[in-house]
Amino acid sequence: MPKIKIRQSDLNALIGKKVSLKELEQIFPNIKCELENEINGEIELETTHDRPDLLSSEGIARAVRSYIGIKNKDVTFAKSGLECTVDKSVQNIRPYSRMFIVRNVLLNDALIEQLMQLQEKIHVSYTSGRKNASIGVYDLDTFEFPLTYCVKSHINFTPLGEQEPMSAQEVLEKTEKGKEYAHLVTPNKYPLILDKKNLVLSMPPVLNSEDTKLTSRTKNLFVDVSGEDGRLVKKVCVLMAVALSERGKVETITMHYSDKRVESPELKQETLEVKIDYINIRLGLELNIKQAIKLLEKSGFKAKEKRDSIIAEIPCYRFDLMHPIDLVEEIAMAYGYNKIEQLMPKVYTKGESHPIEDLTEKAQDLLVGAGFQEVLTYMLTSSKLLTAYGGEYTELANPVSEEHDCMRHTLIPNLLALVSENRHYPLPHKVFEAGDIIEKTKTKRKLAAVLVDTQATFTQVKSILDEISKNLDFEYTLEQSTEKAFIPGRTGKIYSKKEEIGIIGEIHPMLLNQMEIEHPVAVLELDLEKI
Amino acid sequence: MELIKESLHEHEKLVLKALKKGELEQEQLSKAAGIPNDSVARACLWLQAKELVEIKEQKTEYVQLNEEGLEYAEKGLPEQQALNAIAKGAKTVQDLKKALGDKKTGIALSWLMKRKLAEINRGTLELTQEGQKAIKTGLPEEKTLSLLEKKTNIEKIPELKIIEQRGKIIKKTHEIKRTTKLTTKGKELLKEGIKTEKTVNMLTSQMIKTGSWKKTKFRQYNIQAPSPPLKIGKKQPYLELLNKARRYLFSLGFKELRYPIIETEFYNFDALYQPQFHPARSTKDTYYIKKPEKGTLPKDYAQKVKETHENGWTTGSKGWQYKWNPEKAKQMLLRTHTTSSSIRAMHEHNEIPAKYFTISRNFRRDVIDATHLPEFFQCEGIIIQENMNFRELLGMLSEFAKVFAGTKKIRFNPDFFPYTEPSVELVAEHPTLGEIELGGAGMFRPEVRLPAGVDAEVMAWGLGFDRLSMIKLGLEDIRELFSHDLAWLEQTKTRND
Repeated sequence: MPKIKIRQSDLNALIGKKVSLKELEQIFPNIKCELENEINGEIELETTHDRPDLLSSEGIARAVRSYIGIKNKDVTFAKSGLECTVDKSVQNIRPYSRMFIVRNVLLNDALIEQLMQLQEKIHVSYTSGRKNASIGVYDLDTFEFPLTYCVKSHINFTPLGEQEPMSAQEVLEKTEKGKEYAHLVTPNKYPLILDKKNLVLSMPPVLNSEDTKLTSRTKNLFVDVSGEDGRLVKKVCVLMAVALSERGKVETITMHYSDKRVESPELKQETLEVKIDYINIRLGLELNIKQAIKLLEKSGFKAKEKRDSIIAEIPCYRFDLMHPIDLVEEIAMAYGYNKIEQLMPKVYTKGESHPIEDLTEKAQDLLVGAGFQEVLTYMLTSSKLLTAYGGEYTELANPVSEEHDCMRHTLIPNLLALVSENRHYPLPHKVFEAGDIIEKTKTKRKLAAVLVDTQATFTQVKSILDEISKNLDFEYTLEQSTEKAFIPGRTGKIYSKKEEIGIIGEIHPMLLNQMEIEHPVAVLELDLEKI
Repeated sequence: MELIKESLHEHEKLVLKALKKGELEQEQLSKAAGIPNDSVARACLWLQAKELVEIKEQKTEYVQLNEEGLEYAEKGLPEQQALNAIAKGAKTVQDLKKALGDKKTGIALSWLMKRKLAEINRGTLELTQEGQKAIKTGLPEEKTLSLLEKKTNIEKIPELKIIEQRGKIIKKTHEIKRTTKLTTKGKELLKEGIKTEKTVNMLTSQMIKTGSWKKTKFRQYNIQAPSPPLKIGKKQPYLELLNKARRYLFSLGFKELRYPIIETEFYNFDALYQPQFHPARSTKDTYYIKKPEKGTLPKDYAQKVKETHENGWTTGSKGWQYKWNPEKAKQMLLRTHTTSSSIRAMHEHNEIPAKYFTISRNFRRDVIDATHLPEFFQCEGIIIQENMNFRELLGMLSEFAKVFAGTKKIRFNPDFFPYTEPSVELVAEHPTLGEIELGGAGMFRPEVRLPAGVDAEVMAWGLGFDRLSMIKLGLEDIRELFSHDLAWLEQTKTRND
């Protein structure tokens, strides 16, 4: 879940009322924020993935206002009359673009921090990187409209933080951001935002220009969102505009596409209807329509009554509401989860264990009875450890390390690794594991026992096998086999009803040397799903 | 005193009686008591522990010639042998070698020179005056050598240093002489009198068969004496805790599920209404399988899921409104949660009402450290019942907190899961360790249960027992739940709640 930092003073200024930390602590859980910590007025919050509107103090302030009963302003944006042409050249490169401006902004530290954080958090936890949608922020008074969003093969401009103009190629090779995002750019097809005089504003999604950067004198902002995912570009533009509308006056820009014209950001008016009975049945409460509407308002909704239903306006910055059940949760949150009276479910059903678990338990009891210690090891393991054994194991496509690059298909390697690690512990070592393994893509239950002693023989583990077969009621035969992990002539495959069900034998000294095990080892493994 | 008397072994009694006359050495004591030497030694140690006797130890060192030394004693020291050969006519080193052999000649010559018994002039051996004298009287060490042929108390050989200079021709040994005498307490006990009736150590099968045990008195044991440790087999402590949770869920009427660990994205994500563009559905957070890359989809079900994602199907939802890609849904991965098992059971059985659970392994692409494991157990369950409400979910969760965390102090926080609405996080107040997140829960969304064919409410929860188990087992590092340490496994108590 995303984590953000906000300043309490900034939050209070945005709320328009002083709310103490203690009160905030009570409110946060009810607006899906978890207080991680607070140091000198700096608050760290964990928010949830469904609410990108809560990734900055502006959004938190809006939610707190509703919750404590302060009415939020309606979100509407005036037309600025400014224009941008979206050139056809962007179509197969980075086709979507939205923009807006913010007038009369007080550019203090808190705003800059929040603006940068919001940009970063949206890129990380909402758009999964800058490919789908990325955000740029500029000083509105450093360039001239109308703008053009286009793709060019050659360009020279001074990138943010540099002194001299560079070619696009140099930007990608020499600047820090250029190196980081070069993989998102097609060579010689550079998306650019240009002003009336062909001044470069930025090269999305890589870098802005030095000429248009924010300074302490900046009073008016220009924001652009571009990307390959049109729906995300629109949403992110709305999220940014709504957040910045808490800081200044947001105005729209007219975007000219070859086939259409849009006012950006686009605000859709959508509603969601929910019946009062539906709410009460889902929550087990007895609310009347008026109470339910009050609770929705506390959650930041405008809602009205329509016979036995409520019609709620979905705020333009909320993209997580798609079913009436979503309004039910909003009402439950505003009501307070901890104020809801609990009830034990009264469903009569019969408890039942899975047969393989029953069999596993019986096998465990037999080995414990034979004096073996049960152990638990990982299913994720290393292919290096498994290659000494026959059979196929399943590899991971994206392992984090060599130690965990595949799934075990036998329990024996992990048990040998375990006894190797215990080489200084007094003998005998008698250990077993009854656990899952992966056979191709199937999950199977196996049982393996390992005996380490100054004398550990085939006969000793075969006696155990005999007891298991007697008690778990299956017959078996042994056939000599030539597994390289075992001493030739002292190993065999176990068969039952003509099906291979396991392996038994003395481990080859070569493998013992390799695993730094200093004593003889005899092992037994059974496929519990086949007996 | 009576207690001590009764605990006396027959041998102890015999030793005590033998000591009546006074201090005795072990061998004397053995004779006097009429029992073998090692039995006396053992009895003395037991008596000493009971403070009835006092044992004094005296160490005596002995010295004796070794094999090489014995040869010197017999044939004379090498230089003596050389002198004898010279007296018999040997004139050159070559002659000596013939008489004594190569090796001994070397030693002999060096000692002849060192002791100034002979000189070599132009290859000819010439005796000095000392040498000539020695031929007649013999060397002074000979007396000592003959003394050392037998084991001798080291204090009786003052000239030992001279012999020791000649290298290793002697061996030293020591003997410890133990003398035992009664303590005051021992004397008192003897005065009171002890019966030397014969007691028996072990009950034998023979005694039982013949009935001879009836006439037998058994020696009493020191029941406080420590006994040797015993290695036994036990179950794995963490698995035992998970098993306990299983048994509790059976008692509540839950049926156990077992479904595959390698899943398609379909059951792990799509069927749970997690959109295909969700950040968790990437190689960054989830383990994917190399081969086979893709599995198959349940045809009709997949069609309903597709429509639900795209436009809400008949669930009353708007849906996620994007083009659903069946190829993405076929990708094979290691399940990230057992909710995949819950949805499989719902779709497979279509049972209403029903209660299912599973406690099994899940995988997330995480780096291992003290608080994170890429592989972990989770307890997941669902209850299916028509018109079940959120209050019942909260009731069930508070019951779990009571049973699993032993606390009635809990808090519910709103939370987010793509497949539940409302969603809730269960936080328990642990009596000593503060707040513990026990897990997440919620009511399955209509977009989840309706395509699976369940037209009833479904409550779902996933509880993590890792933290609670670590507390119960006294562990600080989550990796120790999978401990390889046999000492820990064998020593961990099986009763730990």
